[in-house]
Amino acid sequence: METLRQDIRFGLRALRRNPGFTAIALITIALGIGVNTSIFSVVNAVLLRPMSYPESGELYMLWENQELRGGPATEWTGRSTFADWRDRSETFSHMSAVTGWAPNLVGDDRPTVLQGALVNPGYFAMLGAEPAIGRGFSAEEETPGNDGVIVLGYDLWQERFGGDERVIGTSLTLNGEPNVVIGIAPAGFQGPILNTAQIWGVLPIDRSNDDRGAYFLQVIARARPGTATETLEADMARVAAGIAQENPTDYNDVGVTVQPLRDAVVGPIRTPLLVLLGTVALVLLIACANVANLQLARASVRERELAVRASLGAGRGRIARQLLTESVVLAVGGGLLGLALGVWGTALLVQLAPAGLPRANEIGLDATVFLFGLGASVLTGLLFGLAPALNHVAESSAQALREGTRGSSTAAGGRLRSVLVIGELALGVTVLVAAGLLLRSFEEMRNVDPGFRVDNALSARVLLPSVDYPESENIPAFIDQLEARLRARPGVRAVGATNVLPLGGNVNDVSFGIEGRLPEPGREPLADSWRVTPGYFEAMRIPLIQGRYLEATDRAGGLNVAVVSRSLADAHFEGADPVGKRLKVGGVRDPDSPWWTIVGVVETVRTRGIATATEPEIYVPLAQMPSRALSLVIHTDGPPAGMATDLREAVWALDANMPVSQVATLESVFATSIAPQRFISLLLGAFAALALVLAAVGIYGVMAFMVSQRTREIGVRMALGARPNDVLASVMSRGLLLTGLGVVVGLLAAVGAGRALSTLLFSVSPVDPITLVSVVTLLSAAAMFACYWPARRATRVDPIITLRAE
Amino acid sequence: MIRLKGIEKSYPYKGGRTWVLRRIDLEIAEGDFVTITGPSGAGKSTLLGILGLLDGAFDGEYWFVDEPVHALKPKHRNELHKAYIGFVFQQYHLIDDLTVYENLEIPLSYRDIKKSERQATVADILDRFNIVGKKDLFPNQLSGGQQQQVAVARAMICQPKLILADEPTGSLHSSQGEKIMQMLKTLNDEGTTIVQVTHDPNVAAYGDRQINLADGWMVDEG
Repeated sequence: METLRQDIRFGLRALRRNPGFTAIALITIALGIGVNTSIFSVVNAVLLRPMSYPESGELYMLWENQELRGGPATEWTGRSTFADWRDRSETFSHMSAVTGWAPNLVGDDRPTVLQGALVNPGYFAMLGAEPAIGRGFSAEEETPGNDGVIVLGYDLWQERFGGDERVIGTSLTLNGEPNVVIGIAPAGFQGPILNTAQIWGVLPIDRSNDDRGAYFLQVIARARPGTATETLEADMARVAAGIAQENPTDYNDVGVTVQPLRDAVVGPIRTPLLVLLGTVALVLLIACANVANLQLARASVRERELAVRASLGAGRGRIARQLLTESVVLAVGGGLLGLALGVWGTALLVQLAPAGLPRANEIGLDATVFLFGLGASVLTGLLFGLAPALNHVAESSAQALREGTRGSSTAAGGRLRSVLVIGELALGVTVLVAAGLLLRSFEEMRNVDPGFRVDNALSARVLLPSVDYPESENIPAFIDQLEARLRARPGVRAVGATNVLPLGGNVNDVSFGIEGRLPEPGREPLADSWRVTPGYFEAMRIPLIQGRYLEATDRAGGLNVAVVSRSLADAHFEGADPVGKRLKVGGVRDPDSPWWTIVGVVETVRTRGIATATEPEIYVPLAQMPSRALSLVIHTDGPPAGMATDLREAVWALDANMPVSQVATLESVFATSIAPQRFISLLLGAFAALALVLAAVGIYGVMAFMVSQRTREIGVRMALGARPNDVLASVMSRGLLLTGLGVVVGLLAAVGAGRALSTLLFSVSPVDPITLVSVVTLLSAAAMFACYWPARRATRVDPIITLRAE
Repeated sequence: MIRLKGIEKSYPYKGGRTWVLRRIDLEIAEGDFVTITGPSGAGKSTLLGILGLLDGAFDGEYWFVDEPVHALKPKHRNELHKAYIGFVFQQYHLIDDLTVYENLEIPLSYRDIKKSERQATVADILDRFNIVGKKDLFPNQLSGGQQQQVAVARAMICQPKLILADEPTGSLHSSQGEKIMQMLKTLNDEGTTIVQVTHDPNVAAYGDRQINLADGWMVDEG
């Protein structure tokens, strides 16, 4: 212990006496540890830490498994199926469906839209989060008509009601209807899905109304303690078989997927996060190689000191331990700086993270992250301290003492330095290729034609509550008036409305059947469907391919008409003209379900996301199939942001209680839809830039050291007639050789890395030649630039001065 | 104390070998003061490195205090070195980052001596060499003679049976050199065996015996 203290004391003193070396090493380590700590804090919160619910391992999500019908394994469900699952399963203690809810709240201020969720009784108990004040929902409140009760989120209660407990029992007007506040959720509570909800209402279950085939609910359940997943699956398979037996048409071949809640919530983000963690680990390795090289250079200058220590009785193990101790002291110093950097980096990450990142509220530095940072620092110190320590062990102290005070560079040390620099260049290539592929993917994504134009367009969401607009006929009338008002504003070119805005994260898929070739029961194709006003196509600038757009004359009571997408026409009409053909939208086998006559074909729109394959698409007139929740789209002459005020005024002129929410340009809707990819690409780009700089600094350090070691030799060569260009070429060729070897090894590693990334790539091959050539060019240029300066210094060696000094 | 029999040292060079020491046979008894002389490249320092147990890569037999050094593992050789040997170098080889006190303490710490004992020993030697006032200075704050004084004190601190001095006065002017040699002579008179390498005939004269090396061969002993 005493000797350890002594080693640490001497180590600290040696670092103080070499401020240049110490500063560069500390900054390098701090950057490496800082980025690792930041990314690990996200990985820790999102992937590693148990969810913040008691016994969270008992929580599962249940999905309809439609694989046997050619559908997804994790399909949402409807009320009837959920109710059957809940009533018939024997292995779950709690089960609740969850669906999004955005009620209009009318109060003293301007009307606002709240973000909320509809859930079932037992939801809060299931998550171990009984309301802080009041109570959760009771079983009776699930019956339609009894469901006018709500639980407020803690923050909403604080902000809107000043934390007044008397709010319990009072009534709030939501969507024009009274709702009694029965509870306040505990502080900090977030649901595992729809985690931005700040108000919860009851999802009413009406057993008399069968909605089999509807998919708008996600189901969370808590298993009885100690029940294995296989038991749960067997239980739900039994339940599904029973439902299928009773509903052979709508439910045959539909199973249940039982998925641990954490997998379901964080599953989609797992690969990107692990890729980021892998990348920063590579950056740390590059930093390690850099500091190891610095240490090696320093150790070679210290050879005399180490030899003296040996001559005074220090064994090789003791000297190696001292070198390692010094490295670890340096690494821990850098690590502490890195942790500080990590605190800042983590806050920045949370700020930059795309909306909807699961468990984002849990991201932060805790004991695990701190230990990780410290552990990584110590490991880093051992890693970069090992090279000089091992190198020293290979040295002969007697030889070092004889070589005097000048310091010497052994062939083994030189080889080790070269290997390290080749290694870090190879790692640099790997990181750069990974970042390059993702940046190229992102660029490809940005260039994808979404099927509509995003420039000069503003969108906003409105909801027409049934209390104020009881008849569905009231809806088109309101929209007609609103569109007319907006159209009259200067600078407005077109106005339209739709029930679902593309790329907004929501889809409305329905089964459909074409007249004359209805599919087998249970094999109906699905299409994304929209209810739109005639102006929608013009406002979105969706090109017409055949026939006509919807028109103002397509009203309720007239011929039911539809416009379909090119994707539907191609997939289901095989070159025949779809215009004039008829199809059923939903209720394919229901004789009362109306036929819709196709009047036009438009370009396919990327509804579900830029990177997601398109589905067949059907548009029907809002006038013939009204919707209460609508997104308005305004196409303007110039930048549309200024139109937001006009839009609100126009809405409130017609209905002062109607909130206008989600006001955003289509450009920002598009940007938000690719925000996760943008986030990951940007981070990887930043890490790659860091890796590039570190690798360049690494090769600079090695070349500079080599030149300083060869000063005498260079002086002799010049005295013998070598020209500056000969010296330059000699040094540069050495750098070129190291770079070439690093690039070749790096390219091999990058092919492997590209494969690992393949699920994150879009329209880019893992061995994309443009990326590979760009990376090689960039890294080689950086390396050559880094080699040039030591080489130039070598050409300025004055042979007379050098040789006299010797 | 020391018995060398057929000691040879060579390095591989272009398919053959370059010889540094050839068939050295030598005996040194406890209490001897031996001077090794010879021109540059004769193998003097190499021989000193082998004698000091810093270099184990040689052929032949080396017996040190009846231990067969040629057959010892590095760890055991290092133990032996720690127990018996102190070194003095031409360039003093004090550790730049350590104060005089710490430079003196470090050999004791490598021998796992307790702190209180170390303090007492260092205090004693500082006193003996009359350098108490310099104990908190770093080597670069001392003159060459003072540095060599500290180096001799450091070589002595573990009370070695054998001191090996490689050109101990090589970097000093004559009066400083004389002072250092007097110190070594006093130590020898007190029983410490001393082997020194030098070019300087005046310094060589301090020894009882002189060994001349040329091209790795022992050419003369007197």
